[in-house]
Formats: sequence, C-alpha cells, structure tokens
Amino acid sequence: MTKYAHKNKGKPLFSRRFKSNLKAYLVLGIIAIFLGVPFYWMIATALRSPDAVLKLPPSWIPNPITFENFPKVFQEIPFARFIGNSFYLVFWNVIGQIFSTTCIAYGFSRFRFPGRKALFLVLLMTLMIPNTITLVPQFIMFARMGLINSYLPLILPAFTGSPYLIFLMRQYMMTIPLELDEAATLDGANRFQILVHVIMPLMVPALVLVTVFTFVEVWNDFLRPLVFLNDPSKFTVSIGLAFFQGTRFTAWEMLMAGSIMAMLPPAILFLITQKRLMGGIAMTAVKG
Amino acid sequence: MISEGKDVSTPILKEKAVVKKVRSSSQYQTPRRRREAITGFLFILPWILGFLFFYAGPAILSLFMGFTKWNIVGTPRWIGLQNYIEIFTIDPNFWNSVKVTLQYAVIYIPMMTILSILTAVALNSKVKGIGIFRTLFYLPSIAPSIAAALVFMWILQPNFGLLNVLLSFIGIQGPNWFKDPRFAMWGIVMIAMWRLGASAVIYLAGLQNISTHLYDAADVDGANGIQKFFNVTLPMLSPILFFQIIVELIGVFQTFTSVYVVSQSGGYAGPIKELYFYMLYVYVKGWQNLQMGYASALSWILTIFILIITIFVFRSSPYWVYYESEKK
Amino acid sequence: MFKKKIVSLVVFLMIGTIVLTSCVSQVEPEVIRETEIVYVEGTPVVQYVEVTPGPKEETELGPDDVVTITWWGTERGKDTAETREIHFRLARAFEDSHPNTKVAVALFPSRAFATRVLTGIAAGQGPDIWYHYWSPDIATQGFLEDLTPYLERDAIDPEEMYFPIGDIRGKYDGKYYALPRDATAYVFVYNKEVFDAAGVEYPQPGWTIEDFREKAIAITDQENNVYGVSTIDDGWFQWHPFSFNLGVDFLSLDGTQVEGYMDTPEAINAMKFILDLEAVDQVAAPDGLADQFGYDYLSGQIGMFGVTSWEYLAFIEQVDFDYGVISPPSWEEGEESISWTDSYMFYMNKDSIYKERVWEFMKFLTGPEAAQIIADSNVWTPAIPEIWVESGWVDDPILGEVYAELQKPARVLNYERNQFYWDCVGGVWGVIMTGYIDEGKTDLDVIVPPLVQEAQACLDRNMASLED
Repeated sequence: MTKYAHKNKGKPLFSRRFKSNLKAYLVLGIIAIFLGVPFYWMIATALRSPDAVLKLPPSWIPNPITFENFPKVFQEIPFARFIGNSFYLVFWNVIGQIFSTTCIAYGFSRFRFPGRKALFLVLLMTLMIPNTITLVPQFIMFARMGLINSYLPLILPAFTGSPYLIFLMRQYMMTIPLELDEAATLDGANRFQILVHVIMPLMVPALVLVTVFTFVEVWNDFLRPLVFLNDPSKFTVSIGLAFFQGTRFTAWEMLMAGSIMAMLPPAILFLITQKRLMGGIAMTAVKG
Repeated sequence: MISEGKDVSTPILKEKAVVKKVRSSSQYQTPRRRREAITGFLFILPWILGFLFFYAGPAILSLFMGFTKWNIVGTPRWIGLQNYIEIFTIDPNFWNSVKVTLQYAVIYIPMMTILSILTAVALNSKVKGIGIFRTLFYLPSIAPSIAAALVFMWILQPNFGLLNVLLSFIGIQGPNWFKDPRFAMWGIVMIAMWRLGASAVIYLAGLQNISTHLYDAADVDGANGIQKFFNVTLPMLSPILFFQIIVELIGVFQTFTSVYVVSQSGGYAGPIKELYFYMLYVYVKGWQNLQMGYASALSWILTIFILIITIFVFRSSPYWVYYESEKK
Repeated sequence: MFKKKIVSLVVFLMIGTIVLTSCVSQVEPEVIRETEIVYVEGTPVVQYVEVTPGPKEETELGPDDVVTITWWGTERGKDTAETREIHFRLARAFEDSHPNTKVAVALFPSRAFATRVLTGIAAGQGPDIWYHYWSPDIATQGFLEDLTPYLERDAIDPEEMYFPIGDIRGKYDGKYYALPRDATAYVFVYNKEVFDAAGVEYPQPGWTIEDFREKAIAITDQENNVYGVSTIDDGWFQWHPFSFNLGVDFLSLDGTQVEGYMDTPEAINAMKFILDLEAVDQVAAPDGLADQFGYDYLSGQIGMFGVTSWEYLAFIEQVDFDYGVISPPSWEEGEESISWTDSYMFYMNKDSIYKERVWEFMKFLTGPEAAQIIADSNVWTPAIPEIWVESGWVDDPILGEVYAELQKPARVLNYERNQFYWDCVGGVWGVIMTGYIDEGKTDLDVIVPPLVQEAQACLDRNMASLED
C-alpha cells in the first residue's frame, strides 16, 4: 500500500499515531458490531440442531452446538451442483460485462456523436423500469426463440452491458485525463489501442468493481434463473436456498447454513480484490 | 505510457472541457469527426443491440400493456386510458402507496448518503487489518436479501428480538416493530442501512482518488478536520456523490424484497397498509390479482416519476457537482 | 490497417449477433431433457431421462406413440429428499402402467411458484399438470381445463370418491376445474402434563367455545411461562377452526360478500372473543415463540394447540409430553363443531397438447393407487377415505380425529374463496388486531364496519373487472 503523508504533520510520535489508530479501531469496531449482529444470529441458527428443545425465553447461544447442518445442506439438495451452475453463470456474466461495459463506457465518454446525451438518459431509464413488469414480455421473447431452459437468457444480456455498470465505468473513465489519449494518438495509436493500452490499465479499480458487483448480482439473482429454467439440474444457489422455504414451514437451520455457505465465494472474492479496488486511479500518476 | 512531466494528478474532467480540448489541440477536420462519430457508435453498438432487444422491446410492450386488460395467461385487451383513470381517481391504495414510498425515500436517501460517506471515511484509515473491516462491512450487501429480511424480522421481534432486549436493558420498551404503524417503516430502513457497505465501498474508491496535496494545502491554510471535510473531501467527492445519489434514487422507489418478506410474515398474511410500498402494490396487482395491465400502468407511472426526479438532479448538478477541471 | 481490421471484426460480430438474435421463429427442441435419479448416499437427488416428443397434434397420436407430459411441483421446505422421491415414485408408477406416456417432473421452490407457472403458461410453455392452492374462482381467468367432461366420461364422481373438501375445493360454477392432491383437517391437541399441573379436567367431546376459554384461563400460569393457547394472531380468523366456529362465517360461502358477514354484531362479538383471549384473559403465548422454530407447542409450555396432518409427522417425531386429541369446540352446546379442512389441488393446463394423456395422469394421481403410494410415503395424506381406513389411520389418535373431521360437511376456507381476498380483505384482520390489542381501540362496532365496507368496495371493483 502506498504511504500517503500522514494527516498529523510533523514527526509521527508513537502516542499520537497510537491514539488515532485506537480511535479508528474503536469507530470501526462499533460499526462492525452493529453490522455483525444479524450475522451472529445467522450463525447461531445454523449451529442449532432442528429438534433443539425450545424454551422461553429462547437461548442466545445454541445448546448443543452442532455442525451437522452444513453437510446436510449438501445432502438435502444438490447444493454442489447448484454452486457449480452459479459459478458457470457468474463466469460468463463477468466476462460479458467487462467486455461490453468498457467498450460502451468508452464510447459514451470519449466520443462525440449526435444524440449522445439523450442516449445516455435512455440508458438510465432502463434502470427505472421495474424488473417484474418486463419479466413476462422478456420470457415470451426468449420462449419464441426456444431459449427457455438454457442459460442463454441469463448470459446474453451481460454481453450487452448492464446500465448501472456502464454508468459506473463512464464516471470513472471521465476521471482519466484526456491528455493521455492525446499523447497516445500522437504516438500513432488508434482508438481501440488507446482503450486497451492506455485506459484499461488505469481502470483496474473500476474493473474490479464491475467484477465484484456482477458476481454478487448474478450469484444472488433468484427470480430470473427461476423463470428461465425448467430443469432442476440447472438451478442456481439462490434457487437452491429457496427450497428450504415451504408454504407452511421453513427449515431455518438449513436455510441459514446454506446462506452462510453461499456468502463465502463473493466474500472471498471481495477480500482478495479489495486492495486493488482501493488503488485509486490517480495513484499511478501521483508525484510527491 | 504516462507522459512524463505532466501533472496528471487532477482526477476529474468536465465533459465540455474534454470536447474543447479535442477541438483546440488536435484540430480535427470534419471527415475525421464523422469517423469519430461512427467509431463511437460502434463502441456502443453491443449496448444498443442489447438495449433494443432485452430492454426496449419488453419495456415498450409493458408500456402498451398499461393500456390493456391482461391477466398474464390470456391475450391483452385494449381498454385505453381506463387503467390510468382508475389509478388516479378511484384507487385508494395508489395514493397510500405513493405516500408511504415517498416517506421512505425522504428518510432513506439522506440517511444512506450520510452514513455511507461517514463509513467510507472510517474505512479510509490506514490501520492494520483494514481489509478485514472493509470485507465485513461489505458482507451484508452480499447476503441474500430474503435471508437478510428474515433475520431482521427476528431481530426486531417485539418480545425476544435482540433490539428490544437491548432496549429493555436501558429501560425502554421496544415497540412491535413491523406491526406498529409508526415504526414499521423504520424496520425497513434498518434493513436497508445494514446494507450500506456497497454504497460505502463506492465512496471509498472515490475518497482514495483525492490527492493528498489538496489536504496538505488545506493544512497549510490552517484548516481543521471538519473544514477539510467540507471544503476538500465533499467537493472532490461530488461526482461520485452525484452518481450514487442518482442510482439510489432510482432504486429506493423500487424497494420490494424486504417489504415483501416482512408483510407476508406468518404464512400468507395480507399487507399492512403502512408497509404497502409501491412495488409491493404493483406485485399484488400484477401477480396475485392477475391484473397485469393495471400493474404495468402503475409501474410506468413510477418510471416517469423517477425520470422526472432524475432529470431534476441532472439539471441541478452544475450547482453542486464540482469537476476539478473547472479550475483550468 | 489495424484499425480497419478491428472495426470490421467488430462490425462482423455485431451483424452476426443481430442475425442470431433476430431469429423469431418457433424453435422446437429435438429432445426433451428431463430429470433422472442420481443417488447420493441413498438419497435420490436429480433425475434425467431423454425422451423424444410426439407429433404436434393430439389427433395425430396413436395409442402406442410415446409422448412426454410435464408435471411441476414444489418443495416443502423440509425433507426435500423425501419430497422429491415421492414425486418421482408417482411418476414412475404411472409410467409403468401407461407405457405410452413419460412424465417429466420438475420441483420448484414454493416461493414464486405461481409466478413461474403463470409466466410459463403466458408463453405457451407452461406445465401440463401442477398443484397449487388457488381459490376456485381462479377458473375465471381461463387457463384451466374444465375437467367435468372427463369425469363424466370416465364415470368418476368426486363427491363419492373424496372427502367433502376434495370435492368442493375444485368446483366453480358447478364445474370441476381441479382435483385434490391431498386432504387435511385441523384438530386440537392438549398437553396432558399442563392440564395435570393445573388440576384441570381434560377437554371432553362436545365441548364448547366457553369451555375452551375457561380451560385456557385455568391452565395459564404466566409466572412459570405456561400458556393456555398459542400466540393469538390474525390467523385465528382464517387458518383456524374458529374461523367457522364462533357462530359466524366472515364471508359468504361463494366468497363474494364480506359486508353483511364480517360487520354484523355476531361477527364483532366473535372478534372480541378471540381478541379478549389476548387482551383480557391473557392466556396466549407471546408472539415470536413460533418464529424461530416453527412449532411453539413443542416447547411443552402451551396447553392447547392445533395440528393438521401436514404437521403430524413433525409433531410425532419431536413431541416429548403426554397429549390427547379432540375435535375443535363448537359454538353451541349440543352442536357438532364445523371442521376446518383443506386440500392442495391439481390443475390441468388448458393449452396442453396431449390432454387425454394428461387426464390419464391426473386420474392416476387423484386415484386410489397413487393415494396408497402417497399414504405409505408419509409426505401427504391423500383425499380418498378408503385409503385412510386401509392404512389403519382411523385408529391413530391424531389421524383418527383428523379423519373424523374430514368426514363432516366441508366449507372452503374463508381466505380461499375469492382470488382477491388478499388484496382486499386479508389486511383488515391485521388492522383490527393491532388496534385492539396494541392501541386499545376496543370499540369494534365503530371501527369494523367502515373497514368492511372498504373491503367490499375493493372486492366489487376487482370482481367487476373480471367481466368482459
């Protein structure tokens, strides 16, 4: 990590840095506790056995603690297959989004063409139309093409760019100075080469954002895989978790155990990439 | 390929400045400009195609559905403006949903913005293990939204839920959160605030983009922490703020999942009017009553409304969004 | 040069995409890929069978032509493996006796299942047969096949074949649009240990609502966390025998009228009775006990509670106290209580291509052979009385009582009588309840009629929109 000049000017005394570190840890810790409480309950429920004796008032620490729910999730539903399916979908969606959002954001941020502003507004408008309303027309369309029960309806839209991510990429691209483009042009590069060799390396944080956000969105998407798939062997993790909720009964311990496990891949991805996320676009060019 | 000797540490350029620079420094001729336009179009071609196919088609169809009577499984029947007339004159739930959703939005947007910026500032510390904290704060955004809503229904449970238990330690009798008309919405707000990590992360990336020489200059001028925040941090953050507020605005009026889970508690209970958010109403009309034409009309009213507000924010942006390049 | 190559490549890709995606002709899959059983540690997991579809029109079908029909169902939230297994077993049993039809089974989560079915039907890709719990007037939406001609042709009389609820639950306007998958009834179970500790006599057959209340008060011991009854919530007026046994029915039998039923002095009296159990008598367990684990009575701290055959298995496995079973109390002395019974129904898609084959499957699923398989599996309790007798359930303490309840004349549950119930009426209970218990708004004579009026107006509006 780059060492910025510390906020407290002058020689960093041990006590001052220690005090401000302590303050930081305190604030972070308090927020962490607030945010972590629901997770505590999720974990506690996942560690409870389904026929734990129930007494009033309910105990906060499960007694006895059992880990049997976690492997049971894999036995009750084909969870491993669902995870594999979800990874497959995520992989293609991430590739599609990276490819399309960079090209499209490049077009919107670096080129002049008639109707650019209007088109951008139209792009934003697509975010304003609720998903549930376009679902049936979309379904009918894909059904006409015979694509129901395949992954294509869930992958193709990624290659045409998610409006939110295009917006995000465009904003980041607009922070990259045009002088770099001009310098490259003077060196004889065409537009595409500029995109690949000049812009994209500086966009790593934004690309990481696109990857993480796409991962999480596709991973947690419930309604679209449910609607476009018939074959249970193609179902995803989000659908699998919903199997634990019946009309009259919810298998809480299984649902929580499954949800916790389902949260691991995106969390690990974020943990690994969060440093690259925080690189900052200007970092590579800062002098002094 | 970074040019030496150029100060490229200024983060953000305004659009007009970009255009001016292109014209003045490169002296492009008209055929070049046309080629630029075509190339620009080519780069956004995948989106145009995708948009036409995956969004425009279904969206226009849904707009058309708003003028029909359609029960999803049958053929739509044209009824003109009847849906819209009914929505604005006879329907008691429409105005209630608008009110409830607006109330929520007015609370949510400022609260979310302020809290996530503050969290981003906290996450900007250079202490050891900050990566763990960042992941922890982002984790709620990863949690499946249904599971999250269910967890909060337990936490806000009036008799045994953690919140009321804690409140009882300091002598306050906590309300029946989701069943009390005065507090139900705050329960939904809590669920939403729990997930501020995604927003905070975006602000964090923006904070990291602010070059420290600005802070150093402020220090030289003798500014304290708060002054630095309002005069350096916020202005430099304003483009990201602009982005995030627009995105949040578009999303807040479409709040659905948490409200859906909460109002259906206990099996299949009907909605409590205080929680009858707009999208829940659209869902009930469309998928439960099978009145999809009516629901389509409702959602287009929402879309137009969001569009108007967004244009407002866009128009207001020159007054508060600061692009560094204006200095030049 | 390089730029031109890139540009032309991009253009080529785009044109290719346009060509591919603008294909709007109907593409028929060559092979229908369905599920096959794969065993994981003895548990059936997923199932695949590859089957070729038959000719397009049913009229072209010869008796030996093999076709595939689709059957969609839902998971129950627990025992997911057993749930899957019973579906597969039924499908395979049918195929054994009907070699010209293959059944492709798909199980979905129960959440958004109706959305899935309706969306599929909208695009002409719906299931041939599925089950759900719509109100009978869903038939007005026009996507269900009228089963009456089939029943008449094959000389099946649902009234004779099934429990009363299985018969009326699928009937609309005199025609049958659905047939029962199962049948259940609500019985009261009392915790003998709680009664003994309080020295109260057990409930006797023929007991009344007043007896119920007195006993609840007598056995409640708040200091020791012992309660007479489960949490009082708006379910007590809907999915609870008291929805019929308080001397009123809150909706008209055909589900169209709420005014004149829910706002009468008798109805308000009935509401007060239930709400006072919480507000005045304080015999109810606090809210939340059930939320975390599903069945609050398993804690052993509740004196009287309800069980249907849907909860039966879980109850039997986990109960650890001595209990007795009794029919719900009646309103008047000497009267028999009205039973609370329900069924999930099978529906046939009106757009099915091979309706005769689907009908054979429907007949099978709702017939005695399938009922026996279902009874053996302990997943559902079938709708055919004879199977209950043959399985010996009549002698079981709980199931025997359920059987007795099922035999009584049936009414469709009040919240399942009108497809607009949830939009218009369902929320009213919550308003009344929260007002009465939490805010002390006990003058129901003033509060209820306007709410009911509004609900009636909402119902009328929606029902009017059904008319073409």
